[in-house]
Amino acid sequence: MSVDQTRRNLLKAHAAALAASAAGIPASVLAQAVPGGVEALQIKWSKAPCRFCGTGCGVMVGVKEGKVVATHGDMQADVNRGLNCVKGYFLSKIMYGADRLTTPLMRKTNGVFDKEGEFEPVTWDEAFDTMAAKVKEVLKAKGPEGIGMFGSGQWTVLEGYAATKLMRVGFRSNNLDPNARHCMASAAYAFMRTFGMDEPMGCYDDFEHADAFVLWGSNMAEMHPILWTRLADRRLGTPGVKCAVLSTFTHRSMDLADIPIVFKPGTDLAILNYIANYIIQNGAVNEEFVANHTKFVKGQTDIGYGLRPDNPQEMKATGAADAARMDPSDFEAYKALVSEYTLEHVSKLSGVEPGFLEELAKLYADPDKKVMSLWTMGFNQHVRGVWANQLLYNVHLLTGKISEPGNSPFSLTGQPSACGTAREVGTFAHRLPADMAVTNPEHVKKAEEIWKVPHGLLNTKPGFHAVQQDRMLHDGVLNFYWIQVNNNLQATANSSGEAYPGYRNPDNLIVVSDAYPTVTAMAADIILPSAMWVEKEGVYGNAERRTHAWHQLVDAPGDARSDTWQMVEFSKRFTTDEVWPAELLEANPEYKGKTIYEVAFANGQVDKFPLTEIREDYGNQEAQDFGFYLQKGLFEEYAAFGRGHGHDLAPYDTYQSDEVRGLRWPVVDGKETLWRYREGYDPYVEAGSGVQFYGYPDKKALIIGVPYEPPAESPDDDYPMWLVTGRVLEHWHSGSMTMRVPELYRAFPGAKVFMNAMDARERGLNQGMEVRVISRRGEIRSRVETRGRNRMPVGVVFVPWFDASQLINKVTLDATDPISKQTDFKKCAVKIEAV
Amino acid sequence: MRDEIWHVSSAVIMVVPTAIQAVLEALSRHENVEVHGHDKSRIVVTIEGRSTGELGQKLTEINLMDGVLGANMVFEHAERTE
Repeated sequence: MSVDQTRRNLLKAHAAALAASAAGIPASVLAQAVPGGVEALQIKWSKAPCRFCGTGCGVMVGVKEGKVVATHGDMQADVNRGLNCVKGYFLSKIMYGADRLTTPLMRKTNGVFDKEGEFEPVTWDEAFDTMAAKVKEVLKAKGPEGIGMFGSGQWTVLEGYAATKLMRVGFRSNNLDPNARHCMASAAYAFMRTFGMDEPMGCYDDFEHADAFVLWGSNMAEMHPILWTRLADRRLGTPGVKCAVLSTFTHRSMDLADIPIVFKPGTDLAILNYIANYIIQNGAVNEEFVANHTKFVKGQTDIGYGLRPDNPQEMKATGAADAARMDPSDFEAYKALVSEYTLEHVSKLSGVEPGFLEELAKLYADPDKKVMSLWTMGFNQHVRGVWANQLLYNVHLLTGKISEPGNSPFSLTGQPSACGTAREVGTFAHRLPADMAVTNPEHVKKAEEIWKVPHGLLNTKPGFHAVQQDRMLHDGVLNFYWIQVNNNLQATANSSGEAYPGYRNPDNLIVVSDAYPTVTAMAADIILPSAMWVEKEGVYGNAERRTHAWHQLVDAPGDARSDTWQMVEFSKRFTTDEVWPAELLEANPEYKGKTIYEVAFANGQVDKFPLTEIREDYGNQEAQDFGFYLQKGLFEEYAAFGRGHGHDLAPYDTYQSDEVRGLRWPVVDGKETLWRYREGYDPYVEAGSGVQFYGYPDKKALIIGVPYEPPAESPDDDYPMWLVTGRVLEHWHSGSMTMRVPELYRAFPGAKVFMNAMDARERGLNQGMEVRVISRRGEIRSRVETRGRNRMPVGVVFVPWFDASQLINKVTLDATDPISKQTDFKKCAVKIEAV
Repeated sequence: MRDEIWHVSSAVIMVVPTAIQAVLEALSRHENVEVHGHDKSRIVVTIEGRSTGELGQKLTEINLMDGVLGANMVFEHAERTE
């Protein structure tokens, strides 16, 4: 007997009604998408945020017999309202790749550790003992500068917080940086510089309030499909709503563009200054807003490209030593600076039709149009990424189009907890929790108090940022390096010039914690098997300040353990006498002889919550192992940093309750904040003030005057084409998860070189032909694609970076924004040759 | 006879309004895809198949069709056939 046809039709009708409801198409059914038939299959459904991008969709995760068997969009989640994108749809499969790591592995010869040996299975104890011996040796010889850790915006909040404690409290080292450095460091620096406080003022509700959307170097259709759906819904469903899309090539998001703009790489800076000029010339400045809520500064210029200091380009750059400098200025000086960015000049420089530029400027200048600007890697992975972010804030600040529904400069993020972990917890080499910095003595004092450690313990010198870590490994300055939750050898620029020789430097011990044998893991000396996603309890923070939490829903396979467990367990192998300065212990004898575990984790705060507080219906490997509710303890200690001054988080149990689908901070008196800095929405804004950018003591945001400066490397006779790298719909970042989902692998199995047909013809190349993509750093082989989803202008090629068999980052240049230290993956010079 | 699982999902497809007829026509040529309704820019479909993989693959294909701005799943149900 087959499933009854009537029943099938009924289920299909039910499914369709739910879809209609999710899309806001009138329909009568409003129930959660868990029908009776699913119960018959004995699936237990629980909430969790999606594991992929920074959108932070809610999904319902179905578990049966200890395995995740299904996921679907969560109807109760505000972010996605039941929708689930292609990658999200395959979430249930990412944990079950055939080559999942389940035991620690170490390179050995004849039974002992050998950097040149082959990987062999070892116990956690043997792996940790080898690591601890190296850490002790390096600390003794070189101090905290010799050890480092590279984490991720995919770390949970709890993992990032454990890492910051292990490194800063335990080892007194600030050589802690996340791969978020490659992703949104420019956005974070620009927020801090402009508003004195990180992260967007608005939220996703802006999508339903805006009259115009402007995408600056973001292909949301492929990278943020759910937010793109909300945008498209607004654009197509509301008369008069407009959409402008700016990019260096034509991609799928251009299908919705009323104003499609393809500009020459790097000239977005000039376009932004032109818009500011247009606003001023046409009397569109909101003078009341500018006078009361902003002040003008002038930025340092000729700031170099973040290359090694002996690089001729760096030596020539007059402002490189002081790249972040901003000096007081005024409106007249700013007006004079942007006046050079005339329509004619900018049109010529950018290659964009004057008509399109003017239309774009009018969107911003029209006081009756609410504008939401959106950006990701086009702005952030930019040698002037901080400037690009700030120049866009200029436009929103000049017109007062900010901090209210629909008027929203909105920085999107690429990783699920880039905001929550990398930024809010502060896992950057210079940061402490809640926007504090290691260089600020007051911040350091506060951190030492909350952490209950002696004054003078914390290191006040910023550590090595991501790109610098690669260089210092290469130079043998950094000798112990632990990489968690990311695939840096595939992700970092100029990988064969710096990172790979750094990892294989005989002086260095490289440890990689991962779920799969990525190229990074295979280049390491010790591989630790990690639990992923719902195999552990966790908290993420998405791009709209939403903190959301989930329970451990299944056990990790074999001996795989969460990164939190790995770090906390590892901390037991060190005593303060071994790693803290003797003078400090003499002055504070009560800390003598304690383990790092005791001073960082079992400190009376993190171990405060007993096992009885854990939900009975969910597992918790770490808590059971350590004997206390570790996650809650970490979270509550961390939350103490932000409560009372604009970063307030709700109690841990609120986030973990079944009803809550995350809350946007600051959460004050149990209420989340949708729009910051605006009276009536934000409890931190004083009554009668209207707007207060309270990140700065004078409550004013900065408008910065900076010019257009060219990219680090431009095409020339030898390397005549621009190379842009990025992602595709089917794969997330380096593909270590999505390439293991057979259906996604088949959908886009190998990277390609997207190029213009004329460029191909000129070189005698045909569609599908194998080619070499060559730069001054290295080369890969790939295949020509002239007809695909990305349509390239003459002189520009695009190569996605998900494919481990075509490591495009051997080709890219490790030039960074000199302020944010974020790499520019969007602009370097290459040549394409037939094989 | 071997047990088989029957899967059904629904999806919302966002379409460029001028392309909606062409997309509807293209969808009608896809086996196991059924259109349940549409307005000027959105189409509600169900997708059937023997595995989540099959369904997801179809969703990926739909995402990349000309005129489609995006396609996202909403509901999934599976049951054993006997």
